[in-house]
Amino acid sequence: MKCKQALIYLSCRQDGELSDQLNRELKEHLAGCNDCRAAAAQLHELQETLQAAPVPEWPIGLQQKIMRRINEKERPRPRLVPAVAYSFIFAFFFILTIWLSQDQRKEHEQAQSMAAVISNSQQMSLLTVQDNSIAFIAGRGEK
Amino acid sequence: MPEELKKEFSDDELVEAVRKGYTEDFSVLVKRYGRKIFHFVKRMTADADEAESITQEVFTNVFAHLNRYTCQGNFQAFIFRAAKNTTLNHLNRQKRTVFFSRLVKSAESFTVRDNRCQNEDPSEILARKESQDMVTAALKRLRETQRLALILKVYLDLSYKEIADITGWSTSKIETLISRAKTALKKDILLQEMPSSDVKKE
Repeated sequence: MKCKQALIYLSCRQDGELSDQLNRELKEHLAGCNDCRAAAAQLHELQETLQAAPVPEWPIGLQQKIMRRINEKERPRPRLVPAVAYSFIFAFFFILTIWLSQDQRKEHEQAQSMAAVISNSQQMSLLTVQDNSIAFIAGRGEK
Repeated sequence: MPEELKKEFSDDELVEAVRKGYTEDFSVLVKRYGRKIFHFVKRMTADADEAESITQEVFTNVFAHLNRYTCQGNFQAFIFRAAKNTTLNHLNRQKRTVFFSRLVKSAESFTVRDNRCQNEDPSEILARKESQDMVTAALKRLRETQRLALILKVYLDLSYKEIADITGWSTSKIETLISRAKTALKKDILLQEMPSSDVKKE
């Protein structure tokens, strides 16, 4: 067994993860290797130093904080308040209706003014209206 | 159902109950694994505040992805995997944004809650504090993979097989990582403990 491998086995043995067979081989190696014996002693010392550190205390209230966060996630997302949604829809249709009625009124006014012009022109014998067609009377008002 | 009875339920039974909508049963799992997860995260980050916030994140992530757990009696590996991933992500983010005050905070956080200090010789307290700070700093200097494996073994007392389940690494890789971590720590701590004259002689 080489020292490099022995160091890994030493660590495994310390962690209680070394098989009986490998443990026997390691013991044989240690019996004839001063460096590895010294390394084993240092490993033991290191383990004690590491385990001397106190276990961190569980923060007060952490359990409640976790459960609060989970319950917040669990709660269904608040939907868009229906009243607000309906208000938007109503406002949209209201504006659309006003806009369309204004358009219709303009068209109506235009049609009325056109009708007035035509009837004036008729009265002045500038044109005649037959069925759906308008005919200009020749020689008068023609440019 | 009374809390006492729920404590006797297996992890998988509790997970099933939570999946069915009994969210409050998750608190039994928090109680069962909270301390271990917090311990692990605190050793990894060396900061109590960060550990607290990461622990919260771990449990909320686990709860959110509970449907990914296959209920094969290995909830511990599932939750530790989540803890490992969340902590490593956090540490990687932190590396990108250099945060100097952490070093100071970490030294403070490890000493504040040591209740054994009462009725003890102040010199002993100081010596132990120094030793703990030294270990914390030396742990922080280890490679992340080495630190992770070592903490799971030394502080959480998990077997190599359990560590393999969490990390997805082979047992031989874990053996090597832990052994190298110990060798590096040994050198690091011994170098600090040794007077400078002895180091020069070596």
